[in-house]
Amino acid sequence: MRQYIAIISILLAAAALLPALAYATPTQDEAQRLYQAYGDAVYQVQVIDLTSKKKTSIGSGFQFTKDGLIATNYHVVAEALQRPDHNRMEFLNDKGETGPLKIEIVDVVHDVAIVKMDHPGKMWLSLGTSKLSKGTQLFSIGNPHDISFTIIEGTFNGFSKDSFVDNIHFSGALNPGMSGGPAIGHDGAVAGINVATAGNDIGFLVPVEPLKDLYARYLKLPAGYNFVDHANAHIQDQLLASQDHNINELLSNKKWESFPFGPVMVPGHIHDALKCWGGASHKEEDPFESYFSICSSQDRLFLDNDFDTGAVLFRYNYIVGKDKLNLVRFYNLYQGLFSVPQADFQNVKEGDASNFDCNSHFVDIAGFRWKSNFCIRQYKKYPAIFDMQLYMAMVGAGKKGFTVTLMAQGVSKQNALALARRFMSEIKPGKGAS
Amino acid sequence: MKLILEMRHHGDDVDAQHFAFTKFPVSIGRGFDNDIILNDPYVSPRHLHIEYDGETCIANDYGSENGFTVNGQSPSGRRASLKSGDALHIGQTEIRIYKPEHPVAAAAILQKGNPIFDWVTRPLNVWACFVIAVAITLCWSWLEIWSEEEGLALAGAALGTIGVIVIWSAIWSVAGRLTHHKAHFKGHVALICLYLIAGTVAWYIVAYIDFLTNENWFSHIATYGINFVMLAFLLYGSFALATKMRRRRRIISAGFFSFGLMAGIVVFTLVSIKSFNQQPIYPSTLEPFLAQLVPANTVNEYMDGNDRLFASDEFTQDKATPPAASKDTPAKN
Repeated sequence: MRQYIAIISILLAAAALLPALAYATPTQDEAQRLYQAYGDAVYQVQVIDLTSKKKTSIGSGFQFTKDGLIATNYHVVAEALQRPDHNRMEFLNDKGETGPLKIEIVDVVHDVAIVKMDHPGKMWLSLGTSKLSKGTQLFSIGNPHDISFTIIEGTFNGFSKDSFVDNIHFSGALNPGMSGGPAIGHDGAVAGINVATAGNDIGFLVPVEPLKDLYARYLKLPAGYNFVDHANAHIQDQLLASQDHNINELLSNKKWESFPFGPVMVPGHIHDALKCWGGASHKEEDPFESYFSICSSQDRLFLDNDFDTGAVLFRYNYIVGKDKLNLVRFYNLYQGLFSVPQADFQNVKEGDASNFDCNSHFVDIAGFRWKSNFCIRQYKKYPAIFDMQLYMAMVGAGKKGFTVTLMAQGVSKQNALALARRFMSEIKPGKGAS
Repeated sequence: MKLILEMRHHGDDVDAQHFAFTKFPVSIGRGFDNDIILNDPYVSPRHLHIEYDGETCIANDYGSENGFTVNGQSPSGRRASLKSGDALHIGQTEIRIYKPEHPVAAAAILQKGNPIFDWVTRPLNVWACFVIAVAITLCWSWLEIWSEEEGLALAGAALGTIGVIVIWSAIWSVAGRLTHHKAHFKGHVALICLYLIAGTVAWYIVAYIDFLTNENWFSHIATYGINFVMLAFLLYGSFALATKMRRRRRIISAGFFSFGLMAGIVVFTLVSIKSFNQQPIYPSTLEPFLAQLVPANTVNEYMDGNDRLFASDEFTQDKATPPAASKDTPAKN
């Protein structure tokens, strides 16, 4: 599971960092040369709470234009964007100089933000390309854990295949606090932006191209446009475009792979972005056998503290009552399973979304009768965006229970409906089923 | 020359008091110098007096604030003549005037009990109720609850049921002993056993209504309605056995208590539903039978309903319209 590597006034990992600092490689001299040549373009980006005067979020950033635009991650500046009245932003450079920063534009889907300093620094980086060959050496600069500016060496390893958004797989020791820092090649051109780590030298970079696109969009904004005042509308548009892209990827696949599971045929591997796994429980003392299969996307779009979106998931639970269980008891246990939802939604906090509202009915699918609940909730800041869950339990199939969960976060009304409709229509009678 | 005065205070459940008088006039009022002293705020210190000469009997107002009525009628003046058996109302007190020769029924009319209660509280029927209640909860537990230790689970269910019956009946018996000097233990046992039997039947009715209607408004009303009626009946019966409340007051008390409890549960449920819940709350009752009897949607019909869900009041649609960002005009450079 990836974890965002900005974040929050924690300085506790100093000890853990020592190995990274002591990373002695043959390229040390090259790293030294690059840091001396380009290090002045890299800044620490701090979000400071106005009341407590303490840092609530830290990350890194780099100047990429002459006029003082700094690129960083959206998740580094999210606190300042979401609560502008309670926070201010500052940069800090290697010499200890500080100054204010202002948010100019953000892209929540690719986790990129552009902020501006009042007095531009003398050094800026040029934007290169991420179209590199596997094994290309990259150097990532940032300020891990607020300790000091650091340059680390790593390798470009192509793009991650397991998500709707292409990120660079970077083999290097990215650490919290380096988010938003640049990853540059030998020529000093930026290939990507540090964004996440999966631990053990597996890091992820946002390719530089979304930054170029965002910069182009920034240039088209009217002069004097205050992005922060219109941020919700912009972010909603970005989310709508992103979910349109993702759900279309699923729906445009005309032939969903399906597999027999219990009494029905159900969708299985329908897209590379959705990883599937499964399992069974055969304990002797259990009154029923249970099987499950789950496919879920790895995508999570960070929007705010404890508020992310973009996950897509479907899950099947199949239980078969053993002889020692009578039908009534079986249904009592089956109901117990169905009535406790599997905490799929932990992605918002109070105030970010409405409560769920459900439409419930019996529906006939694949020759069986299903108790079906279609539930949605609306995002408060982005009212065209919904979380959706379809949860169905097969009834009347004797001592066999089968539940289907389909969950999609951050989708439009049209896509929520289209995905649910397609999914239900893809559940087919099993071979030799009654 | 003798008159009997029978006094009854409104709202008092105790039996009437009787006074015999041979000297007249008899004065009635709140003051201590009266012959009959009424502790009643609606009665004046010197309210009225009753004159009797062996033939005619006259109630004579001293000039009280609230006056008096005879058989519910206000007298035209300050005086009213009375016959044997007339009811005089002073404040909240009823006084009936009887001459000694006033006829009484040959046999005392005992207060009639409720025939159903009387029948149920016969010892044999109490035992039958008890056995059926324990048996039906055992059946329910055997049908519904899966356990590795079946015997232990059943013993637990039986003991639990018996415990509830005994504790409930004991509490009401003590209450009856205190207010009424009668415990009526068997009566309470019969009542709680009937309640448990009806409750188990109601449990299935509610479960199937929930299941088949997908917990719509009808099933909520049925759930609360059934529980309200059952609890009200139980309390009504318990009040009848343990207190001397009049019927009207028993109905009101049982109704109010039961309604209050249900209303409290409804409010609590509504509050917990309306407060923020991370996971959806959805109808989840599953029962093994009858699902094939109710109509089901096709996928298309169901999706139409899902479409309408987006238009519900829960979701503020007005804000959902204009994405300002798309209106961005390109800069003139």
